Amino acid sequence: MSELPAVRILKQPAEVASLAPLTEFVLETAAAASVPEDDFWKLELVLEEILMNVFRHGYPPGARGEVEIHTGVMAPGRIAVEVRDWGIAFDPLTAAPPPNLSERLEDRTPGGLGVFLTQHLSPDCSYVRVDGQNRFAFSFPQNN
Amino acid sequence: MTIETTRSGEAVILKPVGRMDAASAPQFEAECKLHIDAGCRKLVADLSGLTYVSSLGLGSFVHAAKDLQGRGGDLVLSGMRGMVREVFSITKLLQVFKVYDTVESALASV
Repeated sequence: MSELPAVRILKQPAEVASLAPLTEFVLETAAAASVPEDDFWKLELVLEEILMNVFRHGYPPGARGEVEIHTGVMAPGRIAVEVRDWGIAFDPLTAAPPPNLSERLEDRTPGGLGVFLTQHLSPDCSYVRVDGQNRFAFSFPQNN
Repeated sequence: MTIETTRSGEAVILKPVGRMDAASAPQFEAECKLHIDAGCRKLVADLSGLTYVSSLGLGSFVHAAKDLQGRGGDLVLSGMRGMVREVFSITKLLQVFKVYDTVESALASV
């Protein structure tokens, strides 16, 4: 494992263009922790879902906001990630009812799968509102 | 992500190559809409070049398929592999869509 500070922090504008650099930043931590590359897509999915919630719901349309990621190695093969923003209080885990996965195509809605995927791939994910911040935290992978 | 477009009879084959994430999914959805609005009712999505799909990408497939279904058409998928197949499986969309191993078998179904 290469040497990294205990916690690394990156702040970016809360917009879709920040998705790639923020993802790359977290994957660097995953690589440093020797998380198997075959599992990176799971980490990317969870991160994308959380970040898109911030980009879409965190700040009023037209307002410039920021998002900050804190990430660190918890143990060999395992990392911690926390996504923070200063937008309106928004808990993505309870914002919408869970999707009904047994529905036929005509009854499916295009959205709603993001939170399901997040909770499926990262069951220990959690949301808190602290000091005017939304904080969404998870560890990866789960079963180490 | 790039999208390669080819035709076979009345069918349009769209092949997204690369990553279909929140940044690129709208591009695929717009491409589907373009062909549907132009009268295409048989759409094949060749996913053999897709390396990543997020929920926004899944939403694009659901949206296009429902749009086509409402107009008497069909969207079928082919060539799904790796994490793409796994994400369709986790969300039980494998049971919702018509999924084929190859473009040829997908074309034969529409």
